[in-house]
Amino acid sequence: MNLLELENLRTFLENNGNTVRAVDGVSFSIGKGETFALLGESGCGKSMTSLSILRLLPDAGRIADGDVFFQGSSLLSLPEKGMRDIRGKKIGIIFQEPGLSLNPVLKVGDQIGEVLVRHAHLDRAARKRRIVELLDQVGIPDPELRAGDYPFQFSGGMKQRVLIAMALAAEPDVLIADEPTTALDVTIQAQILDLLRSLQKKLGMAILLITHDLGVVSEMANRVAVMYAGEIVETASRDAFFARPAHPYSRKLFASLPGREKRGEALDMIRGVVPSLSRKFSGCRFAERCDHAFDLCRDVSPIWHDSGGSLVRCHLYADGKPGPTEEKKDVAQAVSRPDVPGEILLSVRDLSVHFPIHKGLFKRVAGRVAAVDGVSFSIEKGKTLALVGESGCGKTTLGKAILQLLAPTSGSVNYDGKEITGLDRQSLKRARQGLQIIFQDPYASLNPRMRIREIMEEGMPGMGSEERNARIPSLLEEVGLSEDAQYRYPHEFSGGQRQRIAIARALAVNPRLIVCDEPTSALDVSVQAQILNLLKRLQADHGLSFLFITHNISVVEYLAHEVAVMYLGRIVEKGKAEDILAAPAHPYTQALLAAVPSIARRTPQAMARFDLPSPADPPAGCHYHLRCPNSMPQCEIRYPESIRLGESHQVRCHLYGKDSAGSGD
Amino acid sequence: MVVILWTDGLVFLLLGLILVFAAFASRRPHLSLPWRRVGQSRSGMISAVILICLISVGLLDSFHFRPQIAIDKGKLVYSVEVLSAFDALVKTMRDHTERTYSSPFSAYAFSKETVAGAGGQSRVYPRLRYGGADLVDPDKERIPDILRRSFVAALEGIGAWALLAGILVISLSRGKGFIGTASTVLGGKTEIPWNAMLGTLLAIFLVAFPAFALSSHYHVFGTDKVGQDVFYLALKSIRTGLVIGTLTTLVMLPFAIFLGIMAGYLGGWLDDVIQYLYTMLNSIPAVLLIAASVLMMQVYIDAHPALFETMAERADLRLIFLCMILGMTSWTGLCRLLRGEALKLREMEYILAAQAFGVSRLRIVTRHILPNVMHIVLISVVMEFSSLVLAEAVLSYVGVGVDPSMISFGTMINSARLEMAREPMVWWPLAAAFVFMFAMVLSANLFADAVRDAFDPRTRVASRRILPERDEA
Repeated sequence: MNLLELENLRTFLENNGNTVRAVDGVSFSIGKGETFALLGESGCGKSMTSLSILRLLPDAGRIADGDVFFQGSSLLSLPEKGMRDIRGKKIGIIFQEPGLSLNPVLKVGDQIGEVLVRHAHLDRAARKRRIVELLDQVGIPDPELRAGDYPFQFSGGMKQRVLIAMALAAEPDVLIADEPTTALDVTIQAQILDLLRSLQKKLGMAILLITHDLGVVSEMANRVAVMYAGEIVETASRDAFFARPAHPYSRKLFASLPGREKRGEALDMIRGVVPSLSRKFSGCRFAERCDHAFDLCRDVSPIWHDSGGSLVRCHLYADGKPGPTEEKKDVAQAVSRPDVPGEILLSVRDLSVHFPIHKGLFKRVAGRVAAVDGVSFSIEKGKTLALVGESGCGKTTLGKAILQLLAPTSGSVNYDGKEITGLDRQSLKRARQGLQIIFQDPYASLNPRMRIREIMEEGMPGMGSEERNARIPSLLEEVGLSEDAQYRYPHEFSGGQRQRIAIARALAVNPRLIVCDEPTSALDVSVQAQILNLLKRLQADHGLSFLFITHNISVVEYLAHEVAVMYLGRIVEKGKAEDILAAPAHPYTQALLAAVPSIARRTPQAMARFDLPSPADPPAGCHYHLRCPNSMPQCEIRYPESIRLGESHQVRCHLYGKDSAGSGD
Repeated sequence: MVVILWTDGLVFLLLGLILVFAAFASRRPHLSLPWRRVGQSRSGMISAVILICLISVGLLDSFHFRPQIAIDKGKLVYSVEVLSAFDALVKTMRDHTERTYSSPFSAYAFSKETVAGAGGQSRVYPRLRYGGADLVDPDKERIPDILRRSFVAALEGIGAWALLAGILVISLSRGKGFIGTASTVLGGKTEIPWNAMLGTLLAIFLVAFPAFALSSHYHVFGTDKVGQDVFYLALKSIRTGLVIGTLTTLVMLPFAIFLGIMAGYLGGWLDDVIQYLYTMLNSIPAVLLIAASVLMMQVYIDAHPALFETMAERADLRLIFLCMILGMTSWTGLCRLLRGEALKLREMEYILAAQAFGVSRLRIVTRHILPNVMHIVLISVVMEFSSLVLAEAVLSYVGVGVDPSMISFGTMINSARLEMAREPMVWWPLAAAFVFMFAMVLSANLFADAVRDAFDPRTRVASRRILPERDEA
């Protein structure tokens, strides 16, 4: 018997008279001990599905039709009181943002205890034992002590572990994990996924995993459902799905993933944008973005067809037809990569940014956070250097320090032969002409009260109005937006379009180097592909150099020429992208690469232990030695020197030192 | 001779600024959108109608002039008394002063007086000079007379209302049928709750028309100690309250905005200095500071009587100073809010992007930070208004408020202090002050709530969070 079953569920949200059909006829079932992944881009209704199951919809939401069955009995007909016995006890949930899901003024032990008080009838002592046991189970060291700590004393990954402990406290039969690792770093993500897998094995619960990440699905799921615009368009077993995705949308998702094998070619994109869920659909919802759409698709909504291995809602599979033919790669779109060694555009020497920690009444400087600590690298003309590392390692600070948006504590930044640190405002303004930055969050990087035109004019102070009138449309066209976009306000654009505007703004000053600070991490995969293609094309057309700050290894694999790996303010390894990705030398790089959930491999590899230490108090010696599996006695004493492994490959690790016995694997 | 008092000038300047901003905002969707949301709020628009009525009384009361009394050898001679357009409009109310107290709608004085009559001296309640003066037998005729006059005036009020409502419907119909438009308006099917606003207006007209009609024959709210009509005093107080509520914010805003944004955006030692400044100012009891400054002002005014041609100018100067002093002591709260907001905005990526372009600091402050904190400024200005009106009443009660010759809610309440102790009690001046101040402050507060709901992004987070973030064009 199925544990959890959704039957034609429809959840609508009312918004000023508009009905948003967030979930529109979703059916699936989850068996005991199974992991079922609901895959989809943002806004497709996957979170609303999970909230509907628990009946935790916001006030504006209502379940219009369909039913949810748990162990054969309907959840929607239960009274609210009965539903409280289901939540937590039978169906547990963990949310995306661990920082927001814990009450900051309650000890974590008490918060877990709350669940136990409600669902498990234990006396005080037994409850305490159970809390410790749960914390131990989710891999929190010193559980007795940590149970008395407050949430702010835990890191993001540890908070997510606490939340898992809370969700598991009453031993639910089904665990809903709503993007459980999206807010976490890859290394932490790998730990959490591993934890979920081992807990599932031990407790035999079913997991409904909601995610947008194909890699996570590949590592975790038994079965997959792809959601698009409020509907499920394909369901399949994990193996069948990854062997041969059937629906054109699923195929596009795969094709738009960046990766090593796609270097040098343009990524496949999905045309257009996700349709608004408040409108009425006739026919297939994907039809207007689908390359294979024909007349029938626009008029008749497809029913389920068997494509051999998976069920898919697509007319191309009707009556046993083979589905869409594999399209040929559009060769003309492919971007060539000139690989000539060029001259150096930007070189950074021993750059440090230290933030003082103030304490006491008179703000005495009590310590320093070495956010960036003696970093050196250089970028050639027309090349991309990817700066990789976990959040909190100082990558963004480094990017801002290069543009002099933050005053560096020491070191030099040499741009095109000129030193730009320590300049006064006027000469800095001139020197900075060629340097620009693109930010992570396209919602925060455009002033909501200025029109696109005014936003772009900021970069062209010296130009006359005629020149501007000519330049702004051409820049907008360059990034794939129409000319009339300039008279609109940022809120009228989607995330991807805003990021294009931000790029157009950066291009306004004719820069030669653009610092891209995680420009795609807030975007969906299909939109990410559009932005990455755009950046690649701009590089080819204008010979731009990029400093690409990211934590996404597949993006690095796709477009970086060189890679620098940063850990706690220092670069621990740098070199050509091919060298580092093929043979990472530093144990941290190895862990980082291994932690990336991959579609190709199923078995997880060795991963970094613990969390990133605080940069205010880094461990003595090599900063990484606490987490390093190959730690040696000398690692605790001395920070390793930089060692050359190849022509351009450098690493800072004792494993490769002349005086060490280690040889590096 | 037209007289422009300082407060008149500033009030009209403020009105002009608001009109300019309205014209400016109407062409920019991000500025006009929140105002459209205010327009959709039922309670907000009802209170707006009440406020507009009060404000029009206040504005009428701000056109000042000195009436001409004689022509002396070809030169015009003006009275030393400064009157307003409002005074001229309600001339009868102003001129109908009795000798002393009389209760609302009474035809007799409140206390007995010794009257010499045919049968020698006797102590009776004498007839009033104006209140019900044309009645022969007030005991029998008074109530029918009041009812008749009210009924006629109420009919006039309904007529005036119907005229206004008709104009509104015609202007809304734009070619569509009059009847159809009228039914959508009255059925409440319009975006702006016109039916609620028209209902409020009707209620106001039904009260105001009879009140004004009766005021020429009776004292609607009685008379005070020196025989002035209390209804007149209450209406005159509206202007004082409005001036205090609006001009004070005008004084306060430059301090709060300038210092708050400077502290937040520039930071460093400047931030420390500004923070210490407002923390210090906050630790001095505001009443003490105000009392000291007002008394100093008073000394100056008394020492230089030649500076002022009329009493009104003196009183007006004192009012301006009170606004300034109140403004100086009340900018700290908004300043603190703006500092926090500027601190947050400073780290926003669009500010960093502007810095990366080398945009100057002044430009960043004016183009990026200021527009993004304006919603906070607006919300706090509207919220502050009612507390300032109340503050004036308290200060005048304590004796450090407006000039004693200036009519205000505070002075009315202050004199009511003694009247409450009389036996029998003289309750009407206090009641009148209370009713008018209550209407003004309550409608200002409700309007402020509507403005806050429309402008504060936090109140809209809930609805935004649940919707898919897809706002494609």
